[in-house]
This record gives sequence, structure tokens and C-alpha cells, in this order.
Amino acid sequence: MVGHAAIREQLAAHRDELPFPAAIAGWDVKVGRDATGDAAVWVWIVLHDDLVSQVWPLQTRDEMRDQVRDLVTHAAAPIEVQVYVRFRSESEHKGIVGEDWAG
Amino acid sequence: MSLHKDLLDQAGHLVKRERKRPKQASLRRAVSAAYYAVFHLLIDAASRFVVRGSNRAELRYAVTRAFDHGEMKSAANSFKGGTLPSTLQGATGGPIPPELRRLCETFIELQQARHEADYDLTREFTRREAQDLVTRAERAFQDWTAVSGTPSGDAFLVALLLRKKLDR
Repeated sequence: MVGHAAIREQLAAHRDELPFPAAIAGWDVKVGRDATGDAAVWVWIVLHDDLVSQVWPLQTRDEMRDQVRDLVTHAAAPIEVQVYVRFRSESEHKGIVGEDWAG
Repeated sequence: MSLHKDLLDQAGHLVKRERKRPKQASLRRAVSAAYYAVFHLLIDAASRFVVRGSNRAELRYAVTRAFDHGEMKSAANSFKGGTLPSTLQGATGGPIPPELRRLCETFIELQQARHEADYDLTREFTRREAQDLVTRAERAFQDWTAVSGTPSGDAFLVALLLRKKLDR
């Protein structure tokens, strides 16, 4: 299965190449199998609450999503993975995973 | 209004319910409706492509029953990544248009999100996530309009129904 740590390293290494990197508070990464049994990686891009609006235009989200997808695909190679990229604000994410989430 | 447009409308209404504290029920149904809006958009288009004529509703309905979510995902993966089966490579009339690639990516995301929304009780949706998916479903309708009737669009409709058989 795809390495969780390798994916996080890839994202961290290329963070500054993403649109509005200052808006990114961090990410959460999950690896596993999706609903159809394909190897999959889920990335939640967590955005600082006061900077969400920078990333929120659909085109910006598309660019960020596409770049994250490419980074994860590269990190997972040669394993082919489905990559699911979602967005949350920091307060939303902490409300779900716990206040001690640190990015 | 068509079923697929009504489902898209319903997704848009559901994702805005409970202004301050959206219920998981509303957000999950919004995500599910968004997926099925695009699903029914595509199977309607594909069945009409296969069965033409204004008085062939029963036969078209029979065709719609033949679609498989997993096979549709495989077709979307092929067109998203440009790795078409050899039987289709000459049929697209050129490179896959970006609208069709994006539609395919959206379909795959929505399918997975629908599964999570309907079955994964450990998964919590935020309004933001649900709205993102609904917005992308809305754009998928526009993307389909852009490629409908083109050689790539037609090849995609065939692949939605016959993806596995096209590998022979």
C-alpha cells in the first residue's frame, strides 16, 4: 500500500509551489481502498480560517486540487492510486478530528 | 424539467439548509443528490445516443438499467487520464477536451463522496465540502454541454456502457 509518510513529505516539500501556500494550515492524509476497491489516497487541505476566501474561487481550488493530485500520484508511483482532494477550514477540521490537530 | 436537473436543484437546496448548523442528513443527501444528478445526466445522454427516436422510451429505459457504477468509473478513469482502450483511440477525433477530462474527474470524486455520504457513518461532512461537491456537479453539467455531440463525447457515452468489453 502507498506510504502515508512519503505522501506527507511530498506535499510538504512542494507546499510553496501551490496557489496561496500561506493559506494552508496543513493537511490530513488517509490511505486505503475506495468504494470500488481501488488503492486510494484522501487529502484534506486544511486552510487558515481567515484565509479560506483566497482559495475559495473554483478555479483556485481546481489548481490546488490538480497540483496536490499530481504530487500524490508521483509519491505513490508505481502504485496507481485514486486521489480524492477535499478542503476544510482549520476550525472545521479541528471540530471533527480534535483540537490537538497540528497540521 | 428532467430528473437529472431536478436532482441537481435538490442538491443545491439541501446543501443550504439549516443556516447555522447544517445537519449531516442534509449534507449527505446533498452529496448523494449531486452524484446522482451527474449519473442520470450521463446515462440519459448515453441511452439517447444508443436508442434514437421520440417513441422509444421503454427501450431507452431498458438501456439505462444496464449501466454499472463501477464500469462508469472505469470509463471516466480512461478518459480522465487519456489511456483509452485501443478500440476507442481512433474514435475521439483528437485529444480528449479539458472539459471532458474535468467531467470525468468530477464524476469519480462524486461517486466516492456519494458512497461515503450514504454508507460511512464515521465520516463527517462539512457544509464547505458538500458545497464544493455540489458546485462541481453544477459545472459538470456545463462541461457535458461543451462536449455533447462531439466525437470525444460520443466515445465517452459508449465507454460508459461498454468499458470492460472494449478491452477485448
